Amino acid sequence: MSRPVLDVRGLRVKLPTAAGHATVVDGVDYRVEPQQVFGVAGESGSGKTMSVLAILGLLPRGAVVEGEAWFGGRDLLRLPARERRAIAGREIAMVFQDPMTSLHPMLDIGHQLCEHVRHHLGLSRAQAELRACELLALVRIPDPAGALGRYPHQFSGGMRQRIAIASALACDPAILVADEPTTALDVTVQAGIVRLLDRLRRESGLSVVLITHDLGVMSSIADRVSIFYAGRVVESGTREDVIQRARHPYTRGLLDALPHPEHERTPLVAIPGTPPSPQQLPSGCRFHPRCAYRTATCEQAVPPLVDVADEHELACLVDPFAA
Amino acid sequence: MSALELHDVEVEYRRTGVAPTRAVAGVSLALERGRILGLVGESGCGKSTLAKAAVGMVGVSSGSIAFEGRPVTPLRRRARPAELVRLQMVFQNPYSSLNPRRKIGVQVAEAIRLSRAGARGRERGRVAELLELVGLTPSAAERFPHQFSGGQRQRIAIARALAAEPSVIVLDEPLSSLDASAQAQVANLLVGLAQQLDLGLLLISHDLAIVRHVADEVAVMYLGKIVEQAATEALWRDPQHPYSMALINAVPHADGTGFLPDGLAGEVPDPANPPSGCRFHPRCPYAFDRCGTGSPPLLALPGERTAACWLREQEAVGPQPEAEAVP
Amino acid sequence: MSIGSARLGRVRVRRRAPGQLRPAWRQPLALVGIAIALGWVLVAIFAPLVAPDDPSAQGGLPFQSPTWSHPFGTDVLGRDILSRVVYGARVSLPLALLLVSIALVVGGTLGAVAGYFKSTWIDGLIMRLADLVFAFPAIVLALVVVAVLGRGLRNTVIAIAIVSWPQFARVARSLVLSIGDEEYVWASRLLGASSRRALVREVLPNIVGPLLVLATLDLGTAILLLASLSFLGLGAQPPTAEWGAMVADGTQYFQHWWVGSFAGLALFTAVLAFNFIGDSLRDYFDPTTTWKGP
Repeated sequence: MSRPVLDVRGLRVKLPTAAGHATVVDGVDYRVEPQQVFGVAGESGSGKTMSVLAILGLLPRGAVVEGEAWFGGRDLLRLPARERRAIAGREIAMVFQDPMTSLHPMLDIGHQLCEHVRHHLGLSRAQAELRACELLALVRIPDPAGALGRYPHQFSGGMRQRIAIASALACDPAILVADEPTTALDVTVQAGIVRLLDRLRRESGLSVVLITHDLGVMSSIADRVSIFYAGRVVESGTREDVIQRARHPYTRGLLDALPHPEHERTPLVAIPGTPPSPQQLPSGCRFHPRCAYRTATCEQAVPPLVDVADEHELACLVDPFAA
Repeated sequence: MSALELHDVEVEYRRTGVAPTRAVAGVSLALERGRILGLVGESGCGKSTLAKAAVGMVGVSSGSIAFEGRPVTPLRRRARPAELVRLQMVFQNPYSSLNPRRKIGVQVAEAIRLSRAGARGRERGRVAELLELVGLTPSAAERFPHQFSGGQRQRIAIARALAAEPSVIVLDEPLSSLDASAQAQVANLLVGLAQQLDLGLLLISHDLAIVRHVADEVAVMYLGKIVEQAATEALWRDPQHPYSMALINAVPHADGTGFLPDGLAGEVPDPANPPSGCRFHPRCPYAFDRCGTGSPPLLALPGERTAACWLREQEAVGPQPEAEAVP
Repeated sequence: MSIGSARLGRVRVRRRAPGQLRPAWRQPLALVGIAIALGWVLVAIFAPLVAPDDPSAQGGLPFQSPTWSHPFGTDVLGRDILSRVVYGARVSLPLALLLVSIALVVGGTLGAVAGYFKSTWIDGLIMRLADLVFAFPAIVLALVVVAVLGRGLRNTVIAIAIVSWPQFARVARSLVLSIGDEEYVWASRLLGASSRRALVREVLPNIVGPLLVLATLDLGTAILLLASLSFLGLGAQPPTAEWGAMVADGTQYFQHWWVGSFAGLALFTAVLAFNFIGDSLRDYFDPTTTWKGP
C-alpha cells in the first residue's frame, strides 16, 4: 500500500457552547490514498464536515482540535495558522453545497479564477487567463473564453458548481474536498458532476474526499467509505464492503431507508429516533438507543473500531450481521 | 368525474417589455380520490407553478381546472369558496409553512375553525385526533414550530391540511427539505393517509426514487409540458419518452457496484424562449428531423399510458388525448 | 430553552428561535442600555425627591462652577443645573415616548393599509405622502410645522410625529408584503380565510416586533429632535427646563462650561441607552439571527 496523501489519527474536535465544550468529532482515524475517492458518509450533525474543517483550519474561534493530520510529511494540526492556511488553499481545496460560497457574486468568472491563480502561483495576467480557460475546459464549461467575462448569476446551478470546482483546482491541489457537492442539484445535473469528479480523479491524479449523506452518490464513485455517527466512525471499508456487506446496524439502517427498486410500495424503513446532539451523547455505543440489536453491554462499553475482514473496519460489540 | 381535473392548463408570467412566459404550456391531468399521482421534473419545468395553479394560488391564462366538478377560481380578496376548501396544499419548506409565533395547536384549531369542518367547541379533541393521525402526540399542541424538527413540522403542516377534511391534497416537494429518515417517515405517512382517508394526492417532486416508491401513477414534466404519463412501475421498467429515460438513468444506485449514472447533455432552455417543435429535441439523443418542426402531442399508447414523442407514433392507439394547437 | 441547529455553508451556527432572548449577561450593551434608561425613568418619576432644588428657583449665585451645594453649578439666573437636568428628564422622556408612539401607530397603520391595498390608489397616495415627507430633512420640516402652528412643546410634538411616521409606514408596508407572501399565510387563505382575516390574524402579529425595534431606535432620534427644536427656541419655552434649551443656553456662555455640558451629557446617555436597547430588541424579534460561539 502506498503512502497515504492524508493520514488523520485520533482527530478530536470540540466546539464552544453555552455549557462548556461539546465534542463533535471524537477520535476519528482515516487515510486518503492517492487518486482515490474517499467517501465520508453520515447524516447532518454526525461530524463529517467538522472533521475536514478542522484539518483545514476553518473552524470558528474557540474550537479545540486534537490529534494528528499528516499531509506532505507534516502534521497540519501542529502548524501555525498562517502556514496551515497557505497549504489549505493550495494543496487541499474545498467545494461546498452552495457554489456561491466559493464564488463572488459581483466579480466575473475570469477575475475570480485569475486572482486565485495569480495569488497562489504568481503567474502573469496572460498566463493566468490561459490557465483559467484550461480549467473551465477541464470541467466542460462550453465556450471557456466567453465564460471568463460572465458573472456567476448568468450560469445555472450545475454550471456554477463546475466553476467552483475549476476554481478549487486552480492550484493543482493534491486533494479536493467536496462537501455535499450535488445535494442542491437536479438529478441529471448531479449525474454530470459525479461523472466529472470521477474523470478528474482518473485523469488528474487527484484524490477526492467526498462528504455526503447520499449513499447513491457515494456508491457511484467512492473507493472507500467511512460512515460517521455522532462524531465517530462506525464502519469503514471499500465501497463493496460497506454497501453490499454492511455490518453496522446504522449502516444497514441507512441503506434500508433508501427506496429500493425491488421493494416498491412497501413502506420505507426509517431508523427510529433521531441522532443525538453533541451535548447529550449516550453512554457506551452512541447508536445503542436506536439500535434493534443492542445488548446490555452496548450501553456500558464504547465499541472500538476494529478490523473484521480485510480492510473492513467495524465499531460494534454485537456484530449482528457477521457473514 | 375525477376529484381534480386539469384541462390544457397554461400559466403565464408577465414581464414588462417582453412577451409573457408560459411556465406551464398546456398540461392535462386527472386525479382520483385514494390515488397518489406523482409529478416529477427538474428545476424550471413549471411543476411548482402548476401546483399553485391547481389550488388557485395563481390564475391560469388558458385551460380549466375543476375540483369535484366545480371550477377552481383563483384566490381574490374574499374568502375562498367553501366548496374549494376541501382542496388543500402542503408546501415545500417546513420552516416557513407554519406561523413562527403561534403554538401549533392554535394553528390547527384555527384551520378547523376556518374550514368550518368542526363542530364548535370540539376543536381541542379534533386537534388531538389530527396530531395523532400524523404520528405526533397531542401534547405537541402546546409547543411552537421552532421546537420541532423539519420532518415533524411537515407532519404538522399535513395535520393542518387534514383539518379541512380534504378530498385532494396537492403537495409541492414536501420531502425535499427533509433528511433521509424524515423523508421515509413522511412518505409512509402519506401513503397511509391516502388509503385510510381516501385522499387523492398530487405529489410534486424532483426525487424519482421516492416517487417511485409512493405513487400509483407518474407524470413527467419538462419545460411546461407533460412528456409522459404511466403507472409507476410501467414507467420505470419501460420509459417511452427519452427525457424519462434520461431521468431514470441519472439516478445513482446505492448498490456498491460503482455504477456511474448518465448525465444529460445541454441545459434547460429559458421558458421564455422554448425550442421549436418538440421542446426536448435539442438535448435528445434520438432526435430526428420532425422533432425540430412539429411538437408531438401526448399520444395514447397501449397499457393506458401516454408519451409525447414522435418515436412512438406507430404505437399510438385510439384518439389522441391532446392535440397540439400550436407547435 | 431549546435551540435548533442548522448548517450554514461550511460552519454550523445555531439559529435562535423567535422570541428567545440571549441570556442577559451575554449582552453587556443591552444591560448598560437598560440600566441607563431605567435610571433616567426613575429620575423622571422621582424628580422632586432627586432634585435638590426647585428648577425654576433663582436663589443661587449665577454662574457658580460645580460645588457641593450645586454639583452641576448654576446658570445665568442662578438656578441649580442639577435640578434642571433632573426635571428635564420629565420633559424629554415622556414626550419622546408619546410622539414615537403616535408615529408608530399612525405610520404603522398607514403602511399596513398601503401594503394590503398594494398597487391601488390608496397605496400610491400613502407612499407618495411618505416620500414627500422623506424629501425634507427632518429638522427643516419640523421647523416649518412649528412655524405654522406656533411655538411650544405641544406643537413640537405634533411636528416631530409628522416627520417620523413615514419610516414606520415604509417598514410596515414592506413587512406586510413580505410576510403576506409567506407560506403560512397562503395556507390560511387556502383554508378559507379572507385577505382581511389573514392580514389581521397572521400578518399583523408578525410585523409588530420589527416595528417596535424601529420605535425604540427612534426614541433616541425623537429626544434629539425635541432638543434641537428647543435649542432653536421653538420647543420648550422658558422657564421649562429642557435639555436642548439648556444646551442652547450653554452656547452663549462657553466660558462657563457647566451651563450646557451636563444637559448635553444627559442627552447623549439617554439616546445611547435607547440605541443599545433597540439593537438587542432587533435580535429578539428577528427569527433568523445567527450567532457563532457561546
